[in-house]
Amino acid sequence: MLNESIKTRPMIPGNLMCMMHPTMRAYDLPEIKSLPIRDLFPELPEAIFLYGGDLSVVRERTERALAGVDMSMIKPNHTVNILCSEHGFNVLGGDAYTEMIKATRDVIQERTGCPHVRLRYTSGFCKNESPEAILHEYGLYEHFEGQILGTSLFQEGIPLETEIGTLYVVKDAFDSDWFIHTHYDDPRELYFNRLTARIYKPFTMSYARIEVRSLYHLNFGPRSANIVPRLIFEALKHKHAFTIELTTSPTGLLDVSADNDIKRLERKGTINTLKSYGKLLSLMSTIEDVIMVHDFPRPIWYGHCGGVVAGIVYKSHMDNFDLDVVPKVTETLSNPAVKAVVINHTSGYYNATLPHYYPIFVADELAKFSQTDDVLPYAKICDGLPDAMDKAREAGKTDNVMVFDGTYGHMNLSESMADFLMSKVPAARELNDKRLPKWLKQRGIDPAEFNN
Amino acid sequence: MRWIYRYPVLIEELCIGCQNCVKQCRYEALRFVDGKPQIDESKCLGCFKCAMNCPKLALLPTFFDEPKQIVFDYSDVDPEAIKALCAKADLDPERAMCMCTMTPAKEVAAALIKGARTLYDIMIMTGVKTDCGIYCSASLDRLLKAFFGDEYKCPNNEKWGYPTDPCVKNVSKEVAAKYPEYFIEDDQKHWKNLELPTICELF
Repeated sequence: MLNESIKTRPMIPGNLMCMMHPTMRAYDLPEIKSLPIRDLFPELPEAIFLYGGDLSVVRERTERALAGVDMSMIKPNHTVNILCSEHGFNVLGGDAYTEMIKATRDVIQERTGCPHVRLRYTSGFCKNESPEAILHEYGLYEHFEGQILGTSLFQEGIPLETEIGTLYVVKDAFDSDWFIHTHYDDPRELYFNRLTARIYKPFTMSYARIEVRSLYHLNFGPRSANIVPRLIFEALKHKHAFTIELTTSPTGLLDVSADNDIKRLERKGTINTLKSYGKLLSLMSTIEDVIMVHDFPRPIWYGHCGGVVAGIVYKSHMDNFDLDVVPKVTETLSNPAVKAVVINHTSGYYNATLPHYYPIFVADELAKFSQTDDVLPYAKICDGLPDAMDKAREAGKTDNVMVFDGTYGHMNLSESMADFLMSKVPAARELNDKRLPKWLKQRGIDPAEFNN
Repeated sequence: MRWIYRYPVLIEELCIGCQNCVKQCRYEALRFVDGKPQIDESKCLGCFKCAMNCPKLALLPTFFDEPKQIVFDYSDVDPEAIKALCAKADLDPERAMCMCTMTPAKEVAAALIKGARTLYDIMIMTGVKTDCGIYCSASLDRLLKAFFGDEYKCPNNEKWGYPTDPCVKNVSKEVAAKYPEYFIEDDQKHWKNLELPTICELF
């Protein structure tokens, strides 16, 4: 049943290029409604937490997950770095990730007597990301009593000798006796990680130097590249105390999981991702025409609509879970279902490819500030969001609209899009049932284990 | 082609004179004068490494009246020489190697043939790597190595880059067999045919 649109977390002005809030939010447009994910797939589990919910549930689940984790290697005179990544603050408004991090710090201190538990915030540190804004917004400076350092991929590196050659990580991220890897299992950038080493990916894309990030993307293919973060982890695992992650679904947060054995956690996350996101991603594959509306303060690819990031929808014309698929270059460029793109607010960078494939409508002069320079020559600057929507509908010849504004549990979309998706649920189930056995086989997962 | 719409303007009262910004500038657009950075906007290529490293957010992005453009004319460079250099670097001349500027590999190859001798020269001539500064690094490195051969020396510092060049084509059979989940041997075949999509196509 369609509801009034769901309001997501207010924008965090974490973008150096645009420290301002957008003029209006897409969910305030009268044509935007909200479709509960469980109206599409009632069998998906109910969430324990959504934005605005009771954070004590997250703390309780974190403590429960950590109860089974060995911390005896951490001595009171040791130093411990909790490593966190910028994207965690994109998931569910960032509050669940923050609470998991805070609770992890408290439990470590309580169980080990070690006071030197520091936070290392890793981000692109690019002109569109300000760690200061995020760390203050979520009260992390206060909670860690100032034991926080923002680390950047442009900072001093340290070499690691691996089986494929020398790789460089950021020195400040690993300047401790032990590190804790904090993660989230939403399948962002599925077209890169291919759900083959999802949990390791931040060891390249958060904790490594720029050269390593680049070679991950340019010196390997989307499948083989995942050996890079894996080998970085292997080179540093003598410092790995444990990993903790948010277990998510399009419906919201399901649980918090932790383990000293990262491989075991990776397998658990893989099963959960296929189970929780498989059907919805199959549904995205059925879309025939859509206008993508971006209204999220982070890079354009990472805003969620019903727990699915925009990047995945841009690539939903391919089965990215299928490891036999090596997309031909000509096939990967654009999704024929995407008819137009509206930008109300994003952090701008890394979207310079978009205007080469889709008509782009930027809401207004203010939204223009949030865009990367390389987009502006090709984008149409409009007289406000409603005007941009009209122009996009005209250019795209469709009323189907999806809004990527960070929602979980619901999708903010147009009524015609909701009707279309509801009508395609049987086809999506059929597609998912057809694809799933292969996805499981490719990852060595027994169907009995999957269905357990 | 690189478009530059913005340059940083200093908010003097916020500046603490730490010089982080000056150290980060690749283009000599910032000088430290009388305890404060001085910005030469004519030299600025809008990468904003200065602003992102400012602990006080004292550098405010400001629009130029008219955007600047870096356009590189390489019509006089022998296309066969460009093709040969790209082939040596395992690059398709027509495909973009920079996801910000969408600069094709042939343009960077032409810059080298036309006299670029350093990464800095290439950036100034073509605009490549002057926006995010991250994701084109590996392809640029391959082209520089292909052009200079054994004479190529990586700067080996945090500002201009560390020497690292792992590549799927060089992964040994033993490592490929040890980690079958990453389809190394299969991707090696695709690499040979320049078939693997990069971030420039997947983003």
